[in-house]
Amino acid sequence: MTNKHNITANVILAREPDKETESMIEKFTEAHGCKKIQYEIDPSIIGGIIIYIGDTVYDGSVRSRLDKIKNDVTA
Amino acid sequence: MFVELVGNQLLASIGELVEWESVVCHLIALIILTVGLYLLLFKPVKRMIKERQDKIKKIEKENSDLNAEVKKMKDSTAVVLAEAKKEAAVIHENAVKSANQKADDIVADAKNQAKNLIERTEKELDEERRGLQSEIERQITDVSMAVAEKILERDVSPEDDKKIIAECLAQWSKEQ
Repeated sequence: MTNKHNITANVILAREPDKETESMIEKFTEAHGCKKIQYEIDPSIIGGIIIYIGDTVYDGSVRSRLDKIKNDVTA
Repeated sequence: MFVELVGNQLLASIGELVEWESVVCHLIALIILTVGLYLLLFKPVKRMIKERQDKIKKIEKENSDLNAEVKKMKDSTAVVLAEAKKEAAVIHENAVKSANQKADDIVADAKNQAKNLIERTEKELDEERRGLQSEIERQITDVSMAVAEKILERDVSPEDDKKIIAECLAQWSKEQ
């Protein structure tokens, strides 16, 4: 089992988060044992959020949803 | 009596006319000539005639043998000819059968090849059609996704983005 305590959560967003969004993200990452958050802004994800905590990836980006739709259509 | 008288007179006349020594000499000469002719001419001629007759008989026999042989050969030739005709008929029949069989085989092979070609061509066309269909679908999808991407880039407002983030975090928290 991966120890998620004392590790940094890497968070990717399409634009700079406001305070309320940051608060929601901090709450989520703290619940997963992360003390530190590193933000990265990547407009190519269009919208939504991607969070890397250790080996776990939480991908809620608009880009990944579009890719999923694309794969479903072409499959 | 009259006859006897005439005969005696005739004999007397002949006796006066003919010299008996000369007659005897002539008779002897005739006999010698006859014997000489018999020995020198008649026997060789007779022998020659016999030889010629034998020769003719031999030739006739040879001719007869030859005729018999010719007849035999003719009969044999007729038999051989009949057999040859029969054999030729069989060969012709076999050749016709073989040719027909070959023709049937060639036609069947050609039909089979044509069928295979049609099947292969249909398969290739089907694959090509499916490939093109997939390519068109892929291109349509790419274009649609590019359009959707552009629209979303333009239309996703900070509020929408915030809402999406909140929904994701809530869902992930619920799944824990």
